[in-house]
Amino acid sequence: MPPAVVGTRTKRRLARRRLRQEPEIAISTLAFVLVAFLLVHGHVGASLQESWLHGPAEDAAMMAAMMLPLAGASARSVAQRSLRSRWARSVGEHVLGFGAVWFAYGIAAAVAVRLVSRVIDALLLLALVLTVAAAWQVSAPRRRRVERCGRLRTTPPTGWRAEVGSTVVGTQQALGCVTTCWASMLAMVAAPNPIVMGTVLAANFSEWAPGPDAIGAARRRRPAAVYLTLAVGALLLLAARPALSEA
Amino acid sequence: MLQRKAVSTEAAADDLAIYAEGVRVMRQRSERDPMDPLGWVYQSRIHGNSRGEERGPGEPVDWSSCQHGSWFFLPWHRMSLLQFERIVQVSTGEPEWALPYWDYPDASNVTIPDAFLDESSPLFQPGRAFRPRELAAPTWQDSGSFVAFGGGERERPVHRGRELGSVELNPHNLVHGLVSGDMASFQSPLDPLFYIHHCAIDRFWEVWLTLEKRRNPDKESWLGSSFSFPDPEASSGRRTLFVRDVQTVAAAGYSYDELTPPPSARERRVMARPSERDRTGMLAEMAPRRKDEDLELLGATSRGGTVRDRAEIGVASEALERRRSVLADQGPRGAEDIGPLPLFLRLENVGIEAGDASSMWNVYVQAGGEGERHLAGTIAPFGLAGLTAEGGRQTLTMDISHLSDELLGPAGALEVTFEPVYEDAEGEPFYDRAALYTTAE
Repeated sequence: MPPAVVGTRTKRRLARRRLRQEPEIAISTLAFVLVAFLLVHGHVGASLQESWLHGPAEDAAMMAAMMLPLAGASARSVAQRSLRSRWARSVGEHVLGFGAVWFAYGIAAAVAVRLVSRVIDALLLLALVLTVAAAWQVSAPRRRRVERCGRLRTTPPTGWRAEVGSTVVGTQQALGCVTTCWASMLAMVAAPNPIVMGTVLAANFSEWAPGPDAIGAARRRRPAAVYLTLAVGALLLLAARPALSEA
Repeated sequence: MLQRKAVSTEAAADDLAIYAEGVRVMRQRSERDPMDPLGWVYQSRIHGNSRGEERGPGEPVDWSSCQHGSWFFLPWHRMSLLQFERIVQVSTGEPEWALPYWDYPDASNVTIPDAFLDESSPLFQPGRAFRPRELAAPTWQDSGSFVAFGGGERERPVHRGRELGSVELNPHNLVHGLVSGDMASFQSPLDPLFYIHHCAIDRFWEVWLTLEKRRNPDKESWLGSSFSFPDPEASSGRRTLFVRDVQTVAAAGYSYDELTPPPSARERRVMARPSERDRTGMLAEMAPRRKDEDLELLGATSRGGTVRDRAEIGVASEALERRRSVLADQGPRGAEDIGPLPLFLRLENVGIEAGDASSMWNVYVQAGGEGERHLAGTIAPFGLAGLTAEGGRQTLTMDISHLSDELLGPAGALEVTFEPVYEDAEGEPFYDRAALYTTAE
């Protein structure tokens, strides 16, 4: 008996089904494309002063794009809790609500960082923001917020309230994320280049990655240690700057 | 290899006597030093506090670390029992001792073993108000996937998760609620019944694995997670166990005297109503063929409610017909072979302001508010008041597949009602939405 051959049509059908059942794939792809576009576009790495006129919007777009993958799991839950005829729509509406909140926070954070950087040195500002992020990372209020992460409100199954509901759930989900991770995201905006930005992001995500250390205290402390190390690095650079300039 | 025996059997008599001695020694340790990690009180605080809330500031890091409402529920409690067993073995000088398990068939047929009712025994715990009642039958044996059976998937451990597996909902929570007193709180290990109860739940996990096509997760986020417990022999005073070390009883180094699975909900129903056998065919053909980790919504209430309200769920007929036709295509003999449509009633984002697991409510379903009313499940809000106070909620899933032929008739709607198991129930659960699901393609 010849081995069963899976036809192209079947493969496409299975791929479509997987995309429908796992919206994380489409959302992560969208996030990757957005981040790549913004990096190629060349904004990231420009100095704060250079990017004053057009920077906040791009910084906010970068922040929203980087955070989009966090909407994957909740989008999947929202889709599963919707009637099949609304799966794709509910995911789109959810992502829209999620991205909008992060974009708004990104604008506020970028403007605030730029305003403050006019009166204090950018490296000092970065060190301060990173220290705040480290303190917030291990604080009790943040731990309680982390516990609440992932709690999704439900929506009516049909009608306009279902349409609005998916967006509102995305908004609420993002607000929960912002109140948990606002400090480290602020550090990303204050970061002078993609390497520091990427390190902050990786430290942030390491808390959520699968693996050992069940109770999670060390997991919470690890990103804080990274933020503090970066803060010390920023201060050392600041102190060494006159010598470097002379050299 | 150690063998755990049924508490009601003669063979377990010696094990019970050693258990009583172990409890006595551990209680003494706590009286001398309440912070002794091998003492009775400290061990109960590892599980949780009486309010079911998060660990408080300044408390040891291993307090309030039990895992509920996620797929870590079963492995964490297995590890906890293993370590408890080691403490009793060392405390009593009985290295071959094994914890007996409570061999109740279901929550409606629980009796407290005599040894735990003797007020002069260390196994007695005051404050119990045990009042047996008829509660919903368990459906854990019908759960086809580990997440449906043991709890929702989580990337990392969580003290109080949101998605209870079928075995945690029933009989785990129900027996906690039935015994009441300390057993109904998150500091339930204060009652020696806790350990034989969890030994029963641990055995159900192994029984479930003997059923056809049941498997543990193979994801690293589950297998690679670890938990640390006080240990009487380790030089550091602690022992860390990985989930992969305890994923079967053989891997963990012990066995059970007996692993016969109970009948499924559908088998019980057919046995109770022989006429159904003619209609649906042989029992052997009625084994569930579903993969119930991915569910598809059939209908839901448009708003939330409390257990004092009637909830009406409108069923989307399009979704129902399409799902039926897909299932019929999958059966080797078409529609005749598919049996009842898999059907799950979900109460989403359930909370409760006050009360413990003894504030139990039975959940009934009825087609279109007419015809026979069926007991779909029982809510026993174990630790839910503390979770609710801190902003959390739980989702409770009840497998009602064995009722789907009756419920999904021409009415196009399902009515859900609630009744308190005890009239003096302290709290009234509320929910964001009541919804009806089937399995996804």
